[in-house]
Amino acid sequence: MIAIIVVFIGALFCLYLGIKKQESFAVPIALTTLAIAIGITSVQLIGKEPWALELSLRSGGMMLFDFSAQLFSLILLVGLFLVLLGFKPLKTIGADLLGLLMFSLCGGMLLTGFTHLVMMFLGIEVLSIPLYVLAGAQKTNKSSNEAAIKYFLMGAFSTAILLMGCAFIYGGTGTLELEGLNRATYMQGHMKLATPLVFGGVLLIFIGFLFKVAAVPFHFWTPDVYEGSPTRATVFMATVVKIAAFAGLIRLFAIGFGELKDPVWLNTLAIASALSIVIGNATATIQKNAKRLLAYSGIAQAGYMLIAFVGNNYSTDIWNLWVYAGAYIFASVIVFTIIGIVEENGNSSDLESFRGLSIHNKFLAFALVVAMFSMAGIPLTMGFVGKYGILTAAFGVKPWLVVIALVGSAIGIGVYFSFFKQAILSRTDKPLNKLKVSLSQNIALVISVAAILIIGILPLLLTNIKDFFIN
Amino acid sequence: MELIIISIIASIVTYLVPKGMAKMVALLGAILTLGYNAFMLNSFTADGVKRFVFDKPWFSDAIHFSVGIDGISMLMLLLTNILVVVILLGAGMQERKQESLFYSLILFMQAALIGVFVANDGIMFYIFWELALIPIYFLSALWSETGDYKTTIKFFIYTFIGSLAMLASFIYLGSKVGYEGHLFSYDNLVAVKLSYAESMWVGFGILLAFAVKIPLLPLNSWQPDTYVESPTAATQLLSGIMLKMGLYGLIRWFFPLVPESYDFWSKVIIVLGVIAVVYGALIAIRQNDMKRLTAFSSLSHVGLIAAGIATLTIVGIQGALVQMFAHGVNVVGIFLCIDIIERRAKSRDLTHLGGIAKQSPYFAALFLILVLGTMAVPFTNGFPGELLLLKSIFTYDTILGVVAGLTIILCAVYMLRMYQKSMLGMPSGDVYLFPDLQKSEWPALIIVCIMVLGMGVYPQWIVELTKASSDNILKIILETVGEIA
Repeated sequence: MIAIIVVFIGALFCLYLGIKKQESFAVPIALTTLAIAIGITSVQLIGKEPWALELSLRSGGMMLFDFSAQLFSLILLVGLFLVLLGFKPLKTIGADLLGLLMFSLCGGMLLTGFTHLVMMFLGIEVLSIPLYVLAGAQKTNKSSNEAAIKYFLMGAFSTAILLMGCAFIYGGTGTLELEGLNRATYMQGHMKLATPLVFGGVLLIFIGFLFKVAAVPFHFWTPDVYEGSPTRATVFMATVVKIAAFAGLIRLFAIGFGELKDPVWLNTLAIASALSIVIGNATATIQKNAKRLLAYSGIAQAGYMLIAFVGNNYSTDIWNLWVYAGAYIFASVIVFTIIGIVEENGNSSDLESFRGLSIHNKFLAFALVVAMFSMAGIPLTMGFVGKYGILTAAFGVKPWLVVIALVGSAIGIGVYFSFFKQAILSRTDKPLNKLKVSLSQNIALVISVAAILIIGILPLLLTNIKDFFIN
Repeated sequence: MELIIISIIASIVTYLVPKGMAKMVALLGAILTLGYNAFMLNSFTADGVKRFVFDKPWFSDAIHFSVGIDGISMLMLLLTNILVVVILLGAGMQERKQESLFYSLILFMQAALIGVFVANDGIMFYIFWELALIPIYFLSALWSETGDYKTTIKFFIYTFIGSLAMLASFIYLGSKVGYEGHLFSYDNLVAVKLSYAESMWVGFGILLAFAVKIPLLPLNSWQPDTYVESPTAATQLLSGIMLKMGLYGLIRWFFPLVPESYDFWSKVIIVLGVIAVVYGALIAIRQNDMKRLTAFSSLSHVGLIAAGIATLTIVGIQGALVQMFAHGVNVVGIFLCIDIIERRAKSRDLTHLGGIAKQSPYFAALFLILVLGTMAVPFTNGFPGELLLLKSIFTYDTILGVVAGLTIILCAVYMLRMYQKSMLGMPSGDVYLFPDLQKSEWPALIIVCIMVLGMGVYPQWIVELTKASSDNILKIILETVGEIA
C-alpha cells in the first residue's frame, strides 16, 4: 500500500519534470522511486506482518495487501525497474510518458490487492488508460497511431464487458466484496443454486480478463499493437500489464469464485489455455518480425499461466503462477532489451536485423540464448522451474491439458529457433551496425540472466523461500 | 559427482583461457576427469550396490540431486571419459574458428553425459538428458559443414519432443508414488505398480525419448543427415556416446519402470531392432559417402544391441553392454580415420578415393584394425559382444536370430567395400599425395586400436564389472513380471 503511494508520488514528480522540461532527471528519479518501493515491499514481505500494517489502511474493506498481493507487487516493481534500466531515454518518450508508465504500474498494484470488484475495475482502468497514450507516443508514426487506436478500442470493449460481468455478479449474489462473493457462491455452488446470472457474470469477467492477458480467442490485437507501439511501451505491455492482469485474475478466481470452479469456469479456462498455447506457438513460428514473434509467443505464455489456475490448492497455485510470471518477466526483459538495443542502432525490429549478433556481442547472444531457453522451459533455467510447478499441479486435475502444454512446448522450440537462426547461426557478410550497449542496459541484462540461471540451477532457494512464507 | 564438477570447471576454464591454449586446457581437463575416473574404479567393487552416492534435495523434497555409480554406470563413465580424450585429440588436429567455445562445449557435453549415466532420480536424469542436447546442437549447427541448419533443427526437435514425452511419463509415475518425500528417486519410481494400460502409455512416453536417440527404426531419419552435417567431433560424440544414452536408458530406466507391459515392448523393440540390422546394413552397402555409410552401419549395430537388451536375458544385457563399449570405440575410431582422409584428400566420396594404403601403410594398417573390429572378427572387440547378442536373440526366436545373424555377412560386405575402395587399388585423382600419419595423429588412433585389440583378447572384465548390476535390474523386472503372472 505504501509502495503504491511512493510510486504515485514519483510519477507526479516525473510529470512535473516533463512540464519543466527537465527530462534528464526523470529516469534517475523514476528508478530511485521504484527502488524505494521495492525496498518497502520486500521489508513488508520478509517481516511477514502485512496484515497488521495494512489493516489500518484498508480503505473501507476494498484493499488488502496480503502475502500474494505483495509478492505480485514486488515482481511488477522489479519488472518496471528492469524495463527502465534496459532503455536509453529516447526522444520519443520523455519524462511525462515515464510518469504515465508509473501511473499504469499503480493500477497494476491495485489489481494485485483488491478485495472489492470496484477496486478491481479501478485498477484495470488505471492500468490501461496511460497505455493508450503510450501506444501512440510516436505521434508521426502511422503504425504507432494504428496501435493506439486498436488498443484503445479493444481495451474499451473489454472493460465494458468486464463491467457488465460485475453487474451480473452483483445481481446474482448481492455483493461485490471478494469474501462475500466467496460465501455467496459457496452456498450456491453447494446447493446447485448458482443462477444463470452468476454464470454469465463469471464468464463475462473472464472474457474481459482474457482480453487483457491476450489469450486465445481474444488475442488478435496483440501482434499489431506490439509491433506498432514504441518498444518501451511494448515491453511494458508484455510484462507488467500482462502479469498485473494475471494477478488480478487469480485473486478474483481463486478467492472470489473458487467454489464455482468446477461447474462453471474450469473447462472454459482449460480450453482457452490449450488454444492459446497451440495457436500462439504455431503462429509464432512463421513470424518475420521479432516483436510480432514475441507477441504470439506471449499469447502462448499466457496460455501456460492459465494452467496455473487449474490446480487444487490456491496458495500453491498463486505461488506457481508467481514463479512462472517471474521467469516470464526476466526473459521478456532480456529479449526486448536486446530488440531495443538493435533498434537504437538504426536497425528495424525484423528478425533479419539480428543477423550476426553473436559475432558482434557475445554477451548479448548469451543472454538471448538464456532467455529463449527459459521461455522454452529447458532445464537449469527459471522457466523450467516455473513450468514444472504449474504442470505438476495441473497433472492430477486435467492431464490432457498438460499433454497439450508439452506438445505446445515442442512447437515452441521452433519459435525460439527462428530467433537463434538469425542471431547466432547466421554467418553474414553484411554486419550489423556497431552495437552500442549502455551500462544500465548491461546491468538490466546481467540481473535478469543471473536471476534466471541462479534460480534455475538452485531451485531449492525458491522452495525455501516458499516454506518460509507459507509456514 | 566430482566427475561432473571437474568437467564443468574444465569447460568454463577452457572458454576463458586465451585462444591458443584452449585446446591444451580442454585436453588436460578431459585427462583429469579420466584420471579421477580411474581412481574411482580402483576403489570400486562391482557388487551391484551404488557407490559414490551423493544425495541432496534440489527442487524440493520431491526432486533430489541424487547420483550413484554401479557397475553399468561405471562402464559407461569409462567409455565416455576415454572417448572424450580421443575425440579431443582428434579434434585438435584441425584449426577452426571460435576454438575456445568449441572445446568448452565438448567438455560441457561430457559433464551432461556423465550426469545421465549416474543420475539416480528421474527428473535429474531428464535434466541431464536435455543438457546433453544443448551443446551437441550448437556444435553441429555452429560448425556445420554446409551451413544448412534444417537438419540440426530437425534433430533438436525430434529429440526435444522425445524428452518431453519422457518428462510427462516421469511426472505421471511420480504422482503415483503415493507419499510425500523423494518422489522421483529411482527406487520409488521402480516400485510404482501400474496397470497394464497405464504402463503402455508411460512406456510409450519413455521409449519415445530413447528411441529417438538410439535411433530405433521409424525415428532414424535425423541420423544420417546430422552425421554428415556435423563436424567430426560432434559426430563422434553423437555416435560414440549419445547413442549409448538411449541404450543405457533402455536397460536402466525403461524396462525396470514399466515391466508390466514388458512382453509387448520387448517384442516391438526386438522386431524393430532386427529390421534395423538388415535395413541399415543394406543401405550402407550402397553408400559412397563414408560418413553416411558409417551412419547406416551404426544404425545396424545399434539395432542389434537394442534387440539384445529387449530379450531381457542376462546374456543379452551383458552382450549389449560389451557391444556398447566396443561400438563406441570402433565408431569413434572410424570417424577419426574418415576425418583424416577427408583432410588429406579433400573428399570422403568412395568413388574418388583409392590406393591410400600404398602411400601411407601405417594409417592403412590401423584403419584395417578398426574395420575388422566393426566386422566383429574374433580377437577384436566386436566379436564377444556380437556373439552374446546373437545368442540371446537366437534363444528368443530362431527366425529372428537367423535374420539378425545376417549382420555378420552384410557388415563384412560394406566395411570391406569401404576399405577396399578407399585404401586399395591404384591411387586415384584426389589421393596422389597422401602423407602418412603425423605426430599429432598417432596418439588418438593408437589408443583406439589398442582398445580394439585389448578388449578382443580380454573382454571378461566388462562382464565382471556389470554382472551384479545387470542381475539386479533383471531381478527387478522379473519380480514384477512374476507378480503379474
